[in-house]
Amino acid sequence: MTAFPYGYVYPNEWAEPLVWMPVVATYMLLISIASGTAMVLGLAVAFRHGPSLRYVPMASILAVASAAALLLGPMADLRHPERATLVFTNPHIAPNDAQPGSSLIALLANLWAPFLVLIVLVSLLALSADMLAAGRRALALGLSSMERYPKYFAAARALSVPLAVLAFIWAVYGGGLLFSAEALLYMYNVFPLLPAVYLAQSLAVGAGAVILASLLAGSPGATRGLALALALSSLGAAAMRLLELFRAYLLLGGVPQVEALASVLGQYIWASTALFLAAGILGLLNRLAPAAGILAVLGTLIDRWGFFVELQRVSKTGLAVLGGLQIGPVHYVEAASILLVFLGLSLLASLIIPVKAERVGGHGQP
Amino acid sequence: MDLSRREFLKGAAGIVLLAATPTAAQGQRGEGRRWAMYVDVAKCYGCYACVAACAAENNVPIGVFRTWVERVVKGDGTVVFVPKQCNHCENPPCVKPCPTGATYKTDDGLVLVNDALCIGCGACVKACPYGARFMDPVKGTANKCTFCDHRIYNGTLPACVEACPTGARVFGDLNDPNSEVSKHVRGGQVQVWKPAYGTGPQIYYDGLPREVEA
Repeated sequence: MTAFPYGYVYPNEWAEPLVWMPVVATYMLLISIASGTAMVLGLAVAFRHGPSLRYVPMASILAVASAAALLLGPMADLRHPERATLVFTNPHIAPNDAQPGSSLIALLANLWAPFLVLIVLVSLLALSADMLAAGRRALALGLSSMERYPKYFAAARALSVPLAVLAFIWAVYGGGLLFSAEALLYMYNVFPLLPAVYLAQSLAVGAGAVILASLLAGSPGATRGLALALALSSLGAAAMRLLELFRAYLLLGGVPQVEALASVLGQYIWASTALFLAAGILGLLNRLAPAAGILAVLGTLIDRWGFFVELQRVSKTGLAVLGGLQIGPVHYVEAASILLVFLGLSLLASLIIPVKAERVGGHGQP
Repeated sequence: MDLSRREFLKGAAGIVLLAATPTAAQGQRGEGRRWAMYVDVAKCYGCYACVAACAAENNVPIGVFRTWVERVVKGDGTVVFVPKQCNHCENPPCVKPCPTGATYKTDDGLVLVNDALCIGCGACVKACPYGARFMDPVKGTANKCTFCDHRIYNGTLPACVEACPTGARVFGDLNDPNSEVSKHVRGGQVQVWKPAYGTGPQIYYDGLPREVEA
């Protein structure tokens, strides 16, 4: 148990300051990777943008792997993981007299399966020609000749729209969760753009992850379009965060509750914002886009760690900061493990999905 | 005394029914009630009898609290003691994020937790602005004050109210104009804890220091 802090805290939060373990931070990073890569996949297929279509295989691999590993995060954090199925069988989504409101956790948990199914369907439909060419007929979804491929791609385009919508919802989830399940009333006032920042960060992470993975797989450098998407979303995230900070400084500077928040979150926010600014600038230079991708992933991880782990040190009184969070090696290993599962699944998916698909969208020779 | 088997069974069934049916004084859930508590801060002298009684009655693990007493040094230097616990809010922020509906509101205003449905995600603990909830270190589920719902429907008061030596805590039905709590709340200048959150707390204070109101 930590030393009693100077200030005013409630006894229950002092007894257990860390309600959400560090694995929640990496879970939130995984959400950003899943939603970001799904957005890249969905938008590339929906707009049939020639140069971006070559990223469809890598976006598919990363989106499938990250979405499949997604629910391991909350499972690792639940005190009763054996009851996790109750979120699906007894979800609190429709409000009633006994249970007013609607749980964002339940809503998103029930959107997980449609999200994963849409990612798999869009990926397989868009890549069916390459699957057939590679001799993986079972994964070509019944495609027997290249002449029928345009119909398959049309189906992929139709499904990419709901996929992009679901990816958008997942991308803003973290920000929404902090608003709905966080007792710090002034959070709304200090970070009014939180969901929008999370959306921009997720898009940057998604584009960055695809560029990085393509480089590792030996694919050619980033296209102008994807690098620009990474740069603009990174700069957008940084600009929105700076705007929030400037507004908070002008309106709320000196307010004791906000000072407690700033003393805990400040270093994480500034580090994350600086990384996104750097990612934005590097992303404008095509050749340095992979480095920008690394910075975007790091910036997101630091941001999530600050908001989902360190923020718990701020007392609900707003007038004290709790001491050390008693995070041990086992918590770091647990947090890293879901990312390792994601990497393992990515490797597995890369064995199934042709990494250098050349027939997506009807481009290349049949 | 000669008793036929039929007469014996009739008598036994009558006794069982009598024991199982609450008396009018005991009442049942619902029935248009609104349970509430009134706390006269001036009467609390910080003996912590309520804290001990609650822990003993509800088997509260060591280190966590369903009710606690805060010692507050006011701006003028005087010291007061403020008992605190779950506010059984009219608009409970802890119920909304619960993914399985384990946390719920009863017809008579209690905010309770169904242990069998709680998955231990901690969302309600984080959402409660009063720090009144905690993750039970033994059961792994969310835990909080229940207003001693196992007692109040049997005609007894919550343990904390019964244990208070000065009568600083008054418990009852706010919808009953003749109840003590109703008279206090409707007749006096009462305050609630953190009114800015719009939760509609059902613990009403008389003399709540400005230092802890927000």
